[in-house]
Amino acid sequence: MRIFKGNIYAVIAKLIFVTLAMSVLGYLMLAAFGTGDTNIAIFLAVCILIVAFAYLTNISIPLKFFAPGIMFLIAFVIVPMVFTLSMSVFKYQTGNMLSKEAAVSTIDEQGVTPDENETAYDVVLGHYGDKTSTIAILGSEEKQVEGAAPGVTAKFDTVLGYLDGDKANLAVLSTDTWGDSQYAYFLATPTTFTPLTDADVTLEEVNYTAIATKGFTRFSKDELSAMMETIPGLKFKYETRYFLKLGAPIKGFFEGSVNQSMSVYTYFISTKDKYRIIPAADIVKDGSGMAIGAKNFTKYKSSQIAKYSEEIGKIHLAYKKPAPYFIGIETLPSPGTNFAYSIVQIKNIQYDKKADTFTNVLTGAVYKDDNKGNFRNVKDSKDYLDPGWRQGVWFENFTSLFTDTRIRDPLIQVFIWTIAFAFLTVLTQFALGLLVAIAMDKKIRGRGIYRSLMILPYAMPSIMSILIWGGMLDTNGAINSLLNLDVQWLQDPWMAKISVLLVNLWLGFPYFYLIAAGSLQAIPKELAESAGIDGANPRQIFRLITLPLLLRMLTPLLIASFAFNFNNFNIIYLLTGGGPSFEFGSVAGATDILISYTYKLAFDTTIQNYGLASAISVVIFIIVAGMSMYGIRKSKVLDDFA
Amino acid sequence: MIFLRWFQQNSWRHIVGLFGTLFAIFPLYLVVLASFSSSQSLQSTSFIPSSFVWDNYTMLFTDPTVPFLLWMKNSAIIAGAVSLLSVFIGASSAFAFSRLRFKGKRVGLQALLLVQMFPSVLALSAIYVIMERVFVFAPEWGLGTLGGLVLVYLGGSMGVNIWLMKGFVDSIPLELDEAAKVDGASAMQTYWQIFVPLAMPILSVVTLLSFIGLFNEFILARMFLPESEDRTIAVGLQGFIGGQYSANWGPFAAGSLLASVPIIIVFMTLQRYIIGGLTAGSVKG
Repeated sequence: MRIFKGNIYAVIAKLIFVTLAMSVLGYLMLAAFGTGDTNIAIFLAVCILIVAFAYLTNISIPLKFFAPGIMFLIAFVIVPMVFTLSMSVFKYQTGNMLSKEAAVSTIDEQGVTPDENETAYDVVLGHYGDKTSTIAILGSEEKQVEGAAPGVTAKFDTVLGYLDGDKANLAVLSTDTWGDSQYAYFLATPTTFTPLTDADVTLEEVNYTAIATKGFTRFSKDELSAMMETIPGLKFKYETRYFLKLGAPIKGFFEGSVNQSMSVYTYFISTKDKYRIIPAADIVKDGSGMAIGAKNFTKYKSSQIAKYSEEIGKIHLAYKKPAPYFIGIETLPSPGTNFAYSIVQIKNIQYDKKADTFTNVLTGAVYKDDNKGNFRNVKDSKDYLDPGWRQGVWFENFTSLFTDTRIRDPLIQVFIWTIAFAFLTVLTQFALGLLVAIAMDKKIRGRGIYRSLMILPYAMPSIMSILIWGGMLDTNGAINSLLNLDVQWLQDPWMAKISVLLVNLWLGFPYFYLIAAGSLQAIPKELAESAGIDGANPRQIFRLITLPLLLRMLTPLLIASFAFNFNNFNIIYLLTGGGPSFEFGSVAGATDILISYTYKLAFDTTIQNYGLASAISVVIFIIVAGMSMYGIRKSKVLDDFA
Repeated sequence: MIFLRWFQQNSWRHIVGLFGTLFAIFPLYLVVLASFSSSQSLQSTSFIPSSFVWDNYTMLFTDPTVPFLLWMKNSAIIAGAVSLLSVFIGASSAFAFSRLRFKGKRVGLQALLLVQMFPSVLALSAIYVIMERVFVFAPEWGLGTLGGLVLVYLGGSMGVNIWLMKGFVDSIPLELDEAAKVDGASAMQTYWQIFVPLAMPILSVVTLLSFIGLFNEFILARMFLPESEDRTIAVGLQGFIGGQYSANWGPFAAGSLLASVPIIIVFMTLQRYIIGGLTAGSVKG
């Protein structure tokens, strides 16, 4: 007779659950497709199919039970694991993190250099013509023009000479004969301007023109006639933006006139493909003469500009010189201002897709894929382009574990300590736990209190206790100050090892106490009793009967504990950080075990070496998996025995 | 003679017991001292408290830069959600591994075990990359969100929990579900109507173990939730003493005691079940 029948409510509940799950997955899948995360989207699609297959058909009963668990396991354990393991055959480290395509485009993007004069423009962003999408810049090219300074009428009677006896150190001594300016006398070089007073100068008697002052020597007639040709080109400093030029000589005097250098602008509009000179008539200027608008040019609104913030570095606009010159926009205009900052650049590194090489057009150097994850100069093997990419290197990471002494030597020390640490931990924890268990294996007074207090370290969240121990073992910590010691508990290599073992003993002995106590109860009392009748003393009974039986029962747990401590990341990382370092600057330290060393290699150093870390983790994985498989075998034997 | 005999029989037991007890509790005693001390270090010169102030405790609840209660709440939410969901999802797999007959069962079990052996700390970067992408299309479930961390923990706890629960399920007598089968129950019905009610105590213990384990998790949580108010209690408290020159032991001691007490109470109350669970499958982390 069938007692169990299909239940309509169960079916409805199932349908609701399945629909809900599928729609959530479906929604996420579409979102993932939308952002281009195709791999994730495909995974989600497969998940939907699995859900449908498992719960809407009756083909596979086990799948109904496994489906949710498997999906989580694959997504967050197996995929990251496979990814990590696969990194072990790549050169994958800081500087070689990208895919080759990404590295090529990054090199290409960064392969620019400012032009020889470091030309820069303040430009207005907008578009030229009707199409709003073609970005254009309106720029004003400044040119310094010299000319008479309008409104300045001062003329000076000037003598030419030099300062401090150095004939290259040209200077003029000028006199304001007509009283046109505020300076009666001044001494000027091309870069300095010093007003003088009556007291400073010696006057010539005819025209009352200054001819001498301290440190100034007048050129002789012969010297002057020898340099006649260069005199019109000389410039001497006057007030800001103004300078003094010398006119024709009359009796050894020159007429010094004030001149001005002016900014004269020419205007251009540049788009990606063309550089256009724009006549000044078509330009709207601001107060200083720079262009802020032009015919056929529409300035972008700030909302349009914001769109370009991401790709601004990639926009190349035409310059008046042909490629590889271009104008790049460096910074967008700040809100409320007109101008973006742009500089003229040269695309000096150019990629040849067919040959898969980069060429520096300025130096002519050719960079070729070196099959090790970088473009390297064919003539100079030390010169390569950054960034590189992750390159498959087969077993290079593994062989370097054995051949590269910089990797091998610390690794050997770390490996030996890992084994010693795991072994000694299990030994000390088990020994103390067993001792306590035997001591408590009789109903003595206060046993309950002993027991509750002794398992406190085990009940306490281990992360807290490790950190607390770290503070107590500090050089200024409680242990040293209470015992009036000055021991470098965590800084001395050997003391650090002992400290780690001590703390781990504290953390773990209650576990073995509880386990051993349980196992002692399970050993039939008759065995010990009959041995006692046969004349064995308690010590013999323990050594020959109890201990072997106990070990037999607990071997799988001891192995499991060994495997766990082999990878006991938290205690090492949080207590000593693996330190103290073998030598200054080395990654590995005296208390590092394989997993903490590997973690530091991958995440905690300046050159993060994922490839190497991953190779070591493959090794760890093989060791631990081997040990655990052995442990499982053992426990199977035990099952049969029981 | 009688005394000697008593000594031989009992007194060494007391000596071992006393020694073990002292070893076990003296760090905890020092933490209690530090939590009531006005000095900020773990440096005490005597076992007798020199001062007794509540400052470290009040600071946890009043200082706006130390969202202690938020940290506790985050830890409770994350560990609670993950342990419950993980057992809910994993129990069915454990049941299937234990009771159903299907192709590839042995391989599946071994694969599960093997996956568990992988040092998960090293898969961090891969998880980081994946969750970074997830954040782009589902901002509530990606990197930097509680939801994302829950997903990652769920995946990570699956292997251990399935393995652990399989051990328990194996110990439930087979006769019951055979009887149900004879009465016409499908595998699903056996699971929901026979197995789940029977296994409820066991499932609760696994949930609890899982909760404690997650409470202790540090590395992933630190990487995943950088914002102060998102942190879990372990990461948050570590912040007090993380910097070499900013060791702030008083509040750390107070905070870790407050955070540990609930766990310790639960552990002590249920220790009988928990020990059984631990011997069946794994070692506490």
